[in-house]
Amino acid sequence: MNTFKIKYYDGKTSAIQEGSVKLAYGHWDLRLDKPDGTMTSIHWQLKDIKQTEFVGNTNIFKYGDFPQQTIECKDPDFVKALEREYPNYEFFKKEYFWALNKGLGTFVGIMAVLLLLCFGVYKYILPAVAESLALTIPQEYEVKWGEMMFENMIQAPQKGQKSSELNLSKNEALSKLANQFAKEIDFKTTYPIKITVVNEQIVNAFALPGGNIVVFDGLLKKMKNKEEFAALLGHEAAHVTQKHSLKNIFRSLSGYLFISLITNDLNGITAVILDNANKIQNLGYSRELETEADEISMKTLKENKVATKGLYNLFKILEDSVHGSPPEILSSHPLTEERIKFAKKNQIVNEQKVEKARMEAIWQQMKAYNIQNKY
Amino acid sequence: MEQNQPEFRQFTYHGNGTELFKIYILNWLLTILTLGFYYPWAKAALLKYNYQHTEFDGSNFTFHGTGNEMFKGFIKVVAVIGVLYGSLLAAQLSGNTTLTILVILAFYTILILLIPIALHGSIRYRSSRSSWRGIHFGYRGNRGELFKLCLKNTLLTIVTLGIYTSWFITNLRTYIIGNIRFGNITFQYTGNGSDFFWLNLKGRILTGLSFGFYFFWYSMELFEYYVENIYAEQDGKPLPIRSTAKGGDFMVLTIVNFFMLIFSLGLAFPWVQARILRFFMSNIWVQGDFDGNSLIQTEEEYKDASGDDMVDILDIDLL
Repeated sequence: MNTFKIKYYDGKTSAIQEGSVKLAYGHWDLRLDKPDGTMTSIHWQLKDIKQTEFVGNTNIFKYGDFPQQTIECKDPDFVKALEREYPNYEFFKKEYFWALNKGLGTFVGIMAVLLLLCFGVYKYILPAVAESLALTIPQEYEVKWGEMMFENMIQAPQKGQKSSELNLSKNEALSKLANQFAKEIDFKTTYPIKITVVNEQIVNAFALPGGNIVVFDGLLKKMKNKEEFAALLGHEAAHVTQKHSLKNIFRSLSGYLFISLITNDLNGITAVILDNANKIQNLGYSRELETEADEISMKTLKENKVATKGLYNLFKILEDSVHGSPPEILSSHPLTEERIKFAKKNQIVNEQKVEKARMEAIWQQMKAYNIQNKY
Repeated sequence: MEQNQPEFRQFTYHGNGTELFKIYILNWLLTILTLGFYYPWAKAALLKYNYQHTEFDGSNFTFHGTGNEMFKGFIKVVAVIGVLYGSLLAAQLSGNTTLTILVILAFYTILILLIPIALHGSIRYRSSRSSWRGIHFGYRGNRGELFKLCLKNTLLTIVTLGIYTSWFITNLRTYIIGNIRFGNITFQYTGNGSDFFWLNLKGRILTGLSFGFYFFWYSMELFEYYVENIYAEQDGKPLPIRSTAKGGDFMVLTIVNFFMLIFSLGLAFPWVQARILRFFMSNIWVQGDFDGNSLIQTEEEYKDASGDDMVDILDIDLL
């Protein structure tokens, strides 16, 4: 009852050899009918029987190294006999199809769970992976790359030329003062923080990867004291030190890239990179990243003994300017109630006043410059 | 009794949409879940299924490749692609136009140079891992030769503004098919560039004139031209290959497939896939005195799947 009819291929020729297999202890006995009426016998050691495949009602087993010997058995009792004879042996390594061979209900259930997991991966795991990948980019590359972006955005003022968003004109005098101001603050970073003030009446500021911080003159004019400017620099420097630009780009691209990758659409990826890079460059940071920058700015103020009400006052300036100017200007710094509340809650009331004479002096020079050049 | 042997032998695809659907859906979900890293196993599962359900002369084909093998290749390819795309992205984000153009040029040059290398690896891997009645296919082409051939033909194609494409494809097929072995069966490609060029020109003109309708007949002419120009030989005995695919049948198939996909919002994809395979397999016939029992194993084993993964990611249509 442990003998079954088989077809055998020896792996050397394609000839079909009819015969039988007998399931014995630790091995299989193959007996093959030769065309001349004689028989040959082959021994298959259990441990070298490699692979099981099911095609329709045929079971296929392979044996040994390349070129493998193969047997095919159509007897439906063969599998049952195997399970009975070798209960502890992994003949049916269902490496892939375990979910397919269950009933329809199980299959649908498994699929539903997998679908949910997929959603979770796309929503939570993918952004996290993207962010940690962003952190692997060496600082020197980031600095070089940010420098290149910066050079393409900023240029020295030229007569008769209007500056556009990607073509901002630098204010040399204010930039110089702003950098002196920034030297008075310890940002606790190895990034080369460099401030550039541009002649723009818009109330805005942004940070580029690698250390460049661009401050619009319009915002500077609205500031009343040095603490506000320090808070702004603290916030923008945090975007730099925490690699927010890179994280943002990786996060935004990862979704597109992921879909292109699993659909194997490489041309799609090229298109995504070429089409979206410019958009992504101007993307706003997520709420979490802004909050993180606020927290670090607050920390920087405290560590540098600068009055912490600076951050709250800065937010007030931003909040007021939202009413008067187009809202998209602040899109890169969405000012939420929570952020203002955070600044208010974390500022130190009745702060002990620490004289920051040098910082104050530079700040006064900046103010004076702006009053002189009022237009 | 020799006369009782059938003169023609047909390929048959036995796979069905429902089984394929299960494989596809599981493949997709697991691929997403693993951020794409399941891809090699997904591919192995699909290839295994399709090979096992393709029959010729009473026996099925077998795909011996495994997900583990293909994963090793996949990792290499992902690394190469990652560096290429990383540079492209960085250049584009820098906003520097000159740099971007240079990187795009370098990017496409490297891709073009990678294609023959990937192609070589892919054909070698695929053929070595395919068998029928225990006899493996094999590819004996030389990577350097294929590389030179591709480079020369690419340049000629660019210089002739694409006109040379027909000759390029013909030369490529001649080289690749001429180097494929199936046991002691050898293959040759007998097509020639100018025939292929006129076939394409005629097909395109008529497709345009008929508002696209001729496309179905054009496709089948291309299929027939390709298949019937593969000349197989076993121990000096010719085994001509014939196509019986008709433009009308292909049109019906395509239109029905189109509506299946539209009305199922794409979920009918596996059934469509099975219908396409069934159509093409059932239209290939091998003529002549084929002796399925006398093939002799001649090829060595080859397990490096890098090329195959690369070809896949570059989305190169193999044949």
